[in-house]
Amino acid sequence: MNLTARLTRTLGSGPAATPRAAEPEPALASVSLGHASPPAPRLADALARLDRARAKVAAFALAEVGGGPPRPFEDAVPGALEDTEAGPLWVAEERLGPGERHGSRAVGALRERSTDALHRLVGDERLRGFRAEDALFLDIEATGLDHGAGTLAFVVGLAYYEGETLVVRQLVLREPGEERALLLELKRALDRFPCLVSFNGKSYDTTVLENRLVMQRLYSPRETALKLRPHLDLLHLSRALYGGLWEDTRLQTLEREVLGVHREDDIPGHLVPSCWFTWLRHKSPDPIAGVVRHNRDDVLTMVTLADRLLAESALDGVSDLSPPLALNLARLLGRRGSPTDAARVLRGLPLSEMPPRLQLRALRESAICARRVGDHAWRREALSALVSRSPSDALAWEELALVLERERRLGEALVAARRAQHLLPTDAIARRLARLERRAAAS
Amino acid sequence: MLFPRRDLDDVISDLAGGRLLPGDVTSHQVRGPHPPRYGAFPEDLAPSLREALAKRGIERPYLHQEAAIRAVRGGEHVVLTTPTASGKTLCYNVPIIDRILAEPETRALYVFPTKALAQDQYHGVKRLIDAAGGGGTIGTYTFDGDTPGDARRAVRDFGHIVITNPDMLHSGVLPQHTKWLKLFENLRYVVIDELHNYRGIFGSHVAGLLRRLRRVCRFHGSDPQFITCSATIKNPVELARTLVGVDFTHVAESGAPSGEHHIVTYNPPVVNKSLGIRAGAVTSAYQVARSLIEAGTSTIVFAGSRLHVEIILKYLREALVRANLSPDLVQGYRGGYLPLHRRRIEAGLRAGTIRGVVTTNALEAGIDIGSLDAAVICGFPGSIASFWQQSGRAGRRAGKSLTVLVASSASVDQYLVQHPDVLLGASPEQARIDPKNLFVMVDHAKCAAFELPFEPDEAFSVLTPPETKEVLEYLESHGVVNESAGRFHWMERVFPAHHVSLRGISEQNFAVIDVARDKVIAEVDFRSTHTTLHQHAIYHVDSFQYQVERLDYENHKAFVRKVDPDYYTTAMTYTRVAVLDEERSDRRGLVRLAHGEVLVTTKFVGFKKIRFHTNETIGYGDIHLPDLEMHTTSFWLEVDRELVLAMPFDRQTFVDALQAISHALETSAAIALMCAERDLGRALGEDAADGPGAGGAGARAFDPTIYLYDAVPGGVGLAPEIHKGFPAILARALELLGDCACGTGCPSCVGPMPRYDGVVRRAALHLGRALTAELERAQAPPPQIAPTGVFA
Repeated sequence: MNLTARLTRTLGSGPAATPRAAEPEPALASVSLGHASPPAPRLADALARLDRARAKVAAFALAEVGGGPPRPFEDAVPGALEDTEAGPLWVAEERLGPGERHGSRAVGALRERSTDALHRLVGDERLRGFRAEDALFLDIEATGLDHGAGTLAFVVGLAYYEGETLVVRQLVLREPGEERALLLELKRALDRFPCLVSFNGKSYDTTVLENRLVMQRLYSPRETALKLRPHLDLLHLSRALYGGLWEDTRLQTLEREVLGVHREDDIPGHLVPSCWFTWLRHKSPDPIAGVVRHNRDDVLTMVTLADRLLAESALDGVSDLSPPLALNLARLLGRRGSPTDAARVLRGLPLSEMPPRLQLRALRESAICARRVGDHAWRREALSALVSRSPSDALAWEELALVLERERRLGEALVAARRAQHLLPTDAIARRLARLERRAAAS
Repeated sequence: MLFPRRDLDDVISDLAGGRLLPGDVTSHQVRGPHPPRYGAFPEDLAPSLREALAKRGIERPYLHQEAAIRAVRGGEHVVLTTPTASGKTLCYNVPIIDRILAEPETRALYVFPTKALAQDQYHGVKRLIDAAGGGGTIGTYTFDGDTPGDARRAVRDFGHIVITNPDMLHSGVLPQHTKWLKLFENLRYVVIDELHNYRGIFGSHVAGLLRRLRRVCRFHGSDPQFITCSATIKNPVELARTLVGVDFTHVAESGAPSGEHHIVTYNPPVVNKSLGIRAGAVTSAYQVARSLIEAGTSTIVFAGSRLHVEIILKYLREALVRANLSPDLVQGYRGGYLPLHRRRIEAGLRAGTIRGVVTTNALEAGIDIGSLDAAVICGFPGSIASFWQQSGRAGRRAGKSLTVLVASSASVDQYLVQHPDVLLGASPEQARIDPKNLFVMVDHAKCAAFELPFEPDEAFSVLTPPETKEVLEYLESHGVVNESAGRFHWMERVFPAHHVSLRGISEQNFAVIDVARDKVIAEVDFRSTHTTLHQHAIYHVDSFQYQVERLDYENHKAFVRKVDPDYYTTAMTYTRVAVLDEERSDRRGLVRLAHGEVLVTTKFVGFKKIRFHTNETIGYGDIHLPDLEMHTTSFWLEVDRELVLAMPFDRQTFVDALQAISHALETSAAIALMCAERDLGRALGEDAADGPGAGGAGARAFDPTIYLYDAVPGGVGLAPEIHKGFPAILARALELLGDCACGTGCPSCVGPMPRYDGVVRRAALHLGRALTAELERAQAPPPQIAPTGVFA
């Protein structure tokens, strides 16, 4: 049996031998009906249509990633070949002095930042006493968003401090066969730095890398289990602190809004896999160079974003925070079991200068916080202020009734309960109302 | 009870005595009862497990259970083929739980063909584990599409026994194997139940899947033992070996008891003597089922198609309403129903609030739905194994039970109902799979490359290392994999398993949307869409009728509206075959036999409107859908022009005779190879568009070729077997034509014809004898290979 001939006849021939820039994506990527070359006009038509459509998409992607001519890797991609025990590995290393800036912030500033409250803010006791010198910043570029076994990390961007110098070290695959060397290099970095810092790395980067470590038989729960390490995921902290402030909390949005970083010619994340395939298929390294630049920016943004987040969540600088940010911080502190700190932040808010909607949020947050710290007077004040600004808030009326009843201000409690019952009748309020009426009659 | 109380005995005696329905009871067989034969549990079985079994009334195992437990403990791969309800699950649960109790790192993977079966098994295993005191330490989980995301981690890390289905193993476990470290490093047992389900294209896919499973296990350093269970088929050990790629020990002889089981084969009455037309199986099956349900007998009705399910359901519910009973006492159950709906029906059956179920083969597999008393099988289900599986749904426990086979007018049915010994006495059929099917092979090579890069000189599945390399180089030429230092790596951003469906339909399902409620009411596979969801089609769900208002072909949606028509629709198709490659041929006198690769094109020409109950055609409509093309293997028979000219009848009669022979050949081949008739397709060569007339004046040239092709993409190896056994298949076909009681030709013997006046039948027999003579005239007759299946 000539298998190749049968394959070609049964499933169609491959793309032309000399690939052009606008090579159609293979029709085989998703196997559909069997298709045969000779007497299959309709199916051939359909497949040709499909190929044309795919070619368009591919051409579009290639135009965007800037395919470029085939040329040697080293002519396009920054870095140099390093010899490791597992073979050669392409590494782009850059050392930045403490004063060098990324956007508006110095890359060395993080080292000076107080991290006393960090472990409480992220709810991870292992981050108590977090030191920038222990941190390994990590960001990968991979061949797909899937977490499956076949998704490869072809750029692993690392950053760490050596003294006051920030070292950005990017490990880059030129071909899948170099992966073992890359992972061993990653392992060396993991041995040096016990703590991970990433942006969304808890769900993505560590998952892909653990898969790769398993595939290369380098995984061990003690040494390379990334998921078990202390890990500061800046996405989670950013969401808590910056949520609602801008359109979203993607890394690129944050760096624009809080770090003043503006990238030029950046590769959109969804095209990253295409860059790798373009390199493998067409030996055109320019897209890979673009990914390496993109990754470098991501890593530096993480470093400076971490600095900014720590600065803004340090409690000594609360008075400088914008009210919405202060509110987010108070909310986070309250949720993470630091109601006293939350109370300090909330009490420092310039309520009268804030826009009405923010005032309502602040008062609600204050009522919750006051309950947590057991400050009944503050709680009553916050609720009273809330219902006077938002008289249709049934839940606030109900809670106010409860507080007033506890303070034995039965007449006021009765009024509040009646309002609540009027706005949103429930059995619980009805019971409270009945009780209040009994007590009021008795006294 | 509103009905006069009759019981199962009355129904059986009335049915067998011909008092229940007109028509012929062609056989009435009583099987059993069989007493139990016991063995003993191993001495060193964990005491807690022994107690748990005793608490459930199992002091001793049956003989076959003892044999199986011993074989599993001895490290053998095992195939179990004892009957339905013989306690097969115990055969693997006992040794596996025993091992996990002793070595808690041990992991086991259970694979059931459907989610529903997996759910059912989960409860059984869980109860046994809990009773054995392992509830706190041994994790048992189902893992399927319904498993919520946050629960998946727990299953991966803490599941000692993970119960799943092939589709989930294919797209949710193997591509993520790095996350299942615990499982794959310690995987000791793989249980594959309902093995006989894995035949045809599905089986070929599962063979690829299981090779991938073993490949991933090897990577993680495990080499699990396979324990498989099958209904009775002819070649369970061979099937298991082909699926898994290892040798198996067979445990076949059952020690389990069984109750008294009555099997009745029933042929509906002839309603048109001159045409030999019989009353429809659907109506007759409904009447049998109604009598049984009226007699308080819990009944399951198996019908061959969704359409038939819905029609029988409609009739039964109308009867219930006429009797002032709730129509909900009878429920439909089929693959297209949404999961929640199906779960509700299963629960109703268990609880007894549902007395009758009408189903396609979705319930054929051993879901424990409590004891049903009777099974009504509307039309031969296409295989003897299926027949016994469906029959086994009745009378799983001790006590009297009944199976009624209602024959349809299909020629296989007519043959079997008139030769009941063939049906009831025969060894069941062979399950065929072809792991070398190119489509399947390439799909799984892709999935495997995603899971682990291919090493230099690796042999994948049934391929040799050089063949594997050819496949990989082919994939590389398509940019799907990339070679780096001799290893082939996956290099697509898509997840290959998401684009490969094990069930042989790689196309996406269509959603059926009720426009009035804007709700999805069913899902339909791609190929069925062309015949059931074309514009103006009447689509049936749960005995309600919907008319298709619009089919959004691009987006895989059909918009339907509820209607109350007095008709249903059936699609008319036209099929053409083009030969791509002839693999083998031999000339016998004036005929040539061959098989090879072909392209089958099906056109959808239109549809008929058929009135309920009377079955008369009351109208036609057009279908505007693209043709479907399928690459598969075919057998074909070419008749030389000389022989055509020698026939003493005109061109049209010749074509009709050829048509009639192809119809009989299809039936005969299906019986000989013991595959379902729907596994085979047939077509005649097409009129050539040009060329001089070869016969009567003015007639165009034509191509007197009969194609019998494998009806699944890529084929499962039927064509070469038809080629090998053709003389016997032709002889049986002529017997079908000659022996038919009609005398004039009828739909059953000569197939659909414009008229049945005896001309075509005589011509077909004449042509058939001429063909036989040519085959015999051949100088070197090929070795006469006995056809497999019931005539062996």
